[in-house]
Amino acid sequence: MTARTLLPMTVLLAALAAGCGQLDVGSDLLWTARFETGDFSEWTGAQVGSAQAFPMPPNMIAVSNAESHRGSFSAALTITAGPDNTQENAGLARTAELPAEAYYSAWYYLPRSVSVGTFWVIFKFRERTNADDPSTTNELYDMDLASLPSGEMTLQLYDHTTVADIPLDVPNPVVPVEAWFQLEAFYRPTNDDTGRLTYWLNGQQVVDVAGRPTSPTSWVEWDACSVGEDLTPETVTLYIDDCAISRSRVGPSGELAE
Amino acid sequence: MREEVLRRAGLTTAALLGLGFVPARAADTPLPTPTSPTAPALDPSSVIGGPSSCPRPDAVWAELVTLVPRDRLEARLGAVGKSNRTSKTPVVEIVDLGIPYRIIAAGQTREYRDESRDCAYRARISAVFVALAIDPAQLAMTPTPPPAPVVPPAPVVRTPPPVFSPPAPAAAPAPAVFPVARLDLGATALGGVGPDDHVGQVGAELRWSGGRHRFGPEVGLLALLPVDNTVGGVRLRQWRLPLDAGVRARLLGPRFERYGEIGLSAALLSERALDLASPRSQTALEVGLRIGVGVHAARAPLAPFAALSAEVVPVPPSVFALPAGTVGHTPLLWIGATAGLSLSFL
Repeated sequence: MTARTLLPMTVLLAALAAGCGQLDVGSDLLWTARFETGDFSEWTGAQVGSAQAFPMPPNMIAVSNAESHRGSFSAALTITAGPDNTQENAGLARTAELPAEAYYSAWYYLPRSVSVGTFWVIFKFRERTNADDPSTTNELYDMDLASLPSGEMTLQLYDHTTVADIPLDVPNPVVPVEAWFQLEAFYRPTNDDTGRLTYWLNGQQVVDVAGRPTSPTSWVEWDACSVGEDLTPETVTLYIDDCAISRSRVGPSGELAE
Repeated sequence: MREEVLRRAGLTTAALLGLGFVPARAADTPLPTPTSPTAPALDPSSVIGGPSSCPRPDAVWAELVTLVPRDRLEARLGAVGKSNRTSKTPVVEIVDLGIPYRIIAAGQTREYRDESRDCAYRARISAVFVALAIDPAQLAMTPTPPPAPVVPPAPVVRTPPPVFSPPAPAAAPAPAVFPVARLDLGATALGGVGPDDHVGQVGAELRWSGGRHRFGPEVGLLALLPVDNTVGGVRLRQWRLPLDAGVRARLLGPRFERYGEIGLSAALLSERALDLASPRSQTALEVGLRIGVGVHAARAPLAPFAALSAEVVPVPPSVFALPAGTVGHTPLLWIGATAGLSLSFL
């Protein structure tokens, strides 16, 4: 093949390749927190969220570069929860400007397996009986980490209105340790039969509560947190990264930035 | 006008060759019997029949009466009919066999081929053949222009020639003359298909082609109406503005000019999300290969045309939306159909 024939072919191929473009048509993400700013401003910036640990010390919350799902930083939530029947808290909360229904997603990293004595909440929805009255805020749904007899970690969904666990559709799903996992929920808070709460672990649906009231009002608070009591070892650090509120499923392959 | 004369000459020559006649020998045939002024006019359907829709017997009759004076024609048909009195079949029979068509007249049979199925052309050929078969002297006396090719003398054939002999060539075809330019304007419908996207669009197409030769340049521009579609679950409003340039190859027939095109295409493709929380509009360039075929009337300055096209976009743009990421690609293949008017410039 001579240079005279190669040249037109190269030009033609280059022209065809030039057509390879990307059409960025927008986003269904309503809010994200990737911690790449090195602080908690994504949570606290608009006065509609918080990032706090209490009592502090011993509990702590910080942006860390020790682990990250994507990018360089994540949130490191450390609590020391001994067998003294005291609840220890570190959490990130988003309280306002949330839509009537949305997908809530966060990535978690457990450096080691933990034995849960009483409870360990990592993903939480709260309610208000009067949307305009902060004093009516109550606990609602807690997604907990729990220990299996095998030593592995699993999920439990606790309903504060019934003071009982909601059985998962997938019994005892195994939560990975030393690997990032995604927990995502679809939540439609209503006080009629259109209410819905669905959870996915790494893209696999584990529970779907539908066709019943899920909240007395449409007010929502979403927490990505580490709230525990009686853990072994007592001091545990949970890393959280790539949090999002979206109008469509984020899923394990979802992207929060271009 | 010159072209029509040439064409008449060609038709006559073709029919003459089909019969094996040459005009100089036509005087050997007996003169027709004069028609009585009171004789009733012939019913054309009783004279020309046969199961042919292309050409229709009445079309052949209409051409026949332009070749032979009516009284002479009726006299000759009457004379031929007398010799055929025992038969109930018409004197002339036309049989349409698809591309071939057969003419049986006064005991002589000839089969011609016409791939374009130009019924008017077939009617004229048939009429010349019939005229020569029933009254060779009359057609020989008709002044014909001289440009027919030199035909070697041949003996008069009084018995039917072999029925399925190959068709006689017409007069040497005049070189194809194409207009210097042609402008096609029409309504177009496009369908785009790909693994992630199926979409239909309508609009208008403007296409220019030039050159007086069989091959020439062509350029096309399409303006398409926006359309809503879904790629990977994301609803989009799509605009597309395709432009192409290439080469047109033409094939000129007696009535129609067929053509094929090949070239490069480029399209500005704009997509806007309809349902996302934060929609954006973005435009990308599609580059592909295009082929097309079409047909339009050959000689009219303004004539209808119809065309089909296919465009392959080897690397179609991807559609990206958060949080899903790349949700799919725009179509890989566009199929189009266009119909409208074609204007030629001589």
